[in-house]
Amino acid sequence: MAPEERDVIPGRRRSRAVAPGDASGAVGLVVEDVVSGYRGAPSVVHDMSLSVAPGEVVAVLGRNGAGKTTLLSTISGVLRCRRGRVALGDEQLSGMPAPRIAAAGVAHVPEGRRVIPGMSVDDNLRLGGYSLRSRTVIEEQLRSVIGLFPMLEPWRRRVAGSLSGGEQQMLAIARGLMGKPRVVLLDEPLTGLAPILRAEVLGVVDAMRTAGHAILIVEQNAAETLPFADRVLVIHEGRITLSGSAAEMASSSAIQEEYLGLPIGRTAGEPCPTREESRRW
Amino acid sequence: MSTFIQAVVAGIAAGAVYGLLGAGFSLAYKTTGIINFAHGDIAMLGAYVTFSVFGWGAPLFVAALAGVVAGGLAGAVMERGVLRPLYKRPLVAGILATVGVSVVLQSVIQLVWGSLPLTLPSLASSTPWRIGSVAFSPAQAVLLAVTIIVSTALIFAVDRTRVGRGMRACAQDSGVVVLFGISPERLYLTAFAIAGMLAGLAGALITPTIGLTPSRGVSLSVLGFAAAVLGGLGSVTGAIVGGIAIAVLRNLASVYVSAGYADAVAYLAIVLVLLVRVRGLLGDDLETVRSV
Ligand SMILES: Nc1ncnc2c1ncn2[C@@H]1O[C@H](COP(=O)(O)OP(=O)(O)O)[C@@H](O)[C@H]1O
Ligand SMILES: [Mg+2]
Repeated sequence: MAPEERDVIPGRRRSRAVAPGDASGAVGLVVEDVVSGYRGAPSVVHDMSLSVAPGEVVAVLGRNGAGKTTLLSTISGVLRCRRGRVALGDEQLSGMPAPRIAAAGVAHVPEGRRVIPGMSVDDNLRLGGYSLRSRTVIEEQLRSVIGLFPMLEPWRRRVAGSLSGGEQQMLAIARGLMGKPRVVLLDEPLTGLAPILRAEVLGVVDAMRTAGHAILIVEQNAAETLPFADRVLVIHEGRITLSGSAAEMASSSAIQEEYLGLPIGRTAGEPCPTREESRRW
Repeated sequence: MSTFIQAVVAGIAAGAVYGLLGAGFSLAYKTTGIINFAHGDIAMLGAYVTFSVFGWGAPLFVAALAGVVAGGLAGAVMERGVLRPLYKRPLVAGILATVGVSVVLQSVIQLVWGSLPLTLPSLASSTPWRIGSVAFSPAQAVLLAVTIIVSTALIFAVDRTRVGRGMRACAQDSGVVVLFGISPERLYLTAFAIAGMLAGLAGALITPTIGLTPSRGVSLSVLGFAAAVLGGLGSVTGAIVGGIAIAVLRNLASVYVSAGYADAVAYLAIVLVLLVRVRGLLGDDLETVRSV
């Protein structure tokens, strides 16, 4: 085990991972020794521990099949924790059904965007606010999210299926924010987007951090994600193999060669590694 | 000409009830993907309960409300008890299970109410008003009014309310909606309860015309299915339009061809419409693409 790995285990070095001054650490997202996987199959994620504080962007990097999506699905309750726990502040999330975890303040923006193709942009957004319950609160939140994503304004009445990939990604993120989440999980939000749109998505991530959301972003595209992250974890075959601050990681030749296979700093203009877009978890 | 108008007017009133049947059928299908072959039997159950409560001395419209509640309960129990355990199986398992529920409901009705035909009075007089040479009865007016009110409320609910949006989303991607705090299982239960209430209402409205027999539900299922398919499976508005279209076609066929061919002509017309337009009159494009 690399020594850095310990840094992100909240039980031991919580002060580093969580906002200073909060002794209990009861604010952000905490994942502790989580083991999970798919029904009737061996575990895919092993002893995973990490934490994300409000106003912090943590990037999880790893190759296709490393277990990134599985990790996010376990946090949002789509998959059950086999061992370990997930908590948001004082509230234990693991063991709750996915809809309750969403209502507790976790927005999971899924891989492949998963907008509801036959519904309008506005209705997709309102769906994101389902757990707010009250119609007036949902409409109010709709206005404020449209304010954050002015690019959505002209498409509001369009059917979501007719938007381009980049537009759908914006919609998927905006929909995630509709539920007034404290934690936002982003699964490969850059995949399949043109460079200009990738920059736009990362700009939105930056704005969400400023707004105080705890953000966990999963990516294969290290070069573009690193500059926006505060901390980075590299996972390989379901385990964290490296972790550290984004600055440390950017200069680490180990992650460049060994874990990402992408020379950092030279890939900004290159296409993202592609993968089947339509695969579901 | 007046024969034509008469056939259309009578068709619209009768078709309103087919439309209600189709609307419930479509709602359940839209949300769960299940084609409910017990839908017509739930309608008959609603009618029989209406018959009994009326027999105990309640006013007819109170009895009809009891029929609506019975239908809703039957739908909810069916969803919880029979369909829920099958959601993890292929869809066809659930659909076959509805055939089983249909048979069970018919037996229960036969046990409780016997197999002799019974009759239920209609909510309003069937002595017709005459407008020129066209006859239209208060009973038909009630059918039409109830259908218009109920279907408008339903369309609004599906289109504009939070739960209705959840149902539509669930139909398109039941995997992702949990991430928004939606519990598909709760929506399936809601959809089946509402569909059951609509069936119960349709049963209470239609049996004054067709009578009560335990096996009658099968033909009501077929009517509801036909209305829903013609209108575009999954579209509530489509089901109402489809139901009215079928009844008008049947009436026209029996006037201009022969009463014996009414059904044949009507269903032939449906087949022709669907050949030209696979997704039905008001069907959702994506829905069809998805299921092909
Ligand atoms: N629905 C599934 N059922 C079974 N195994 C799966 C499923 N989805 C992914 N896996 C397996 O889990 C592992 C991790 O996958 P995933 O979390 O999707 O990786 P990543 O998101 O990092 O590309 C892979 O070995 C993959 O084959
Ligand atoms: Mg993935």
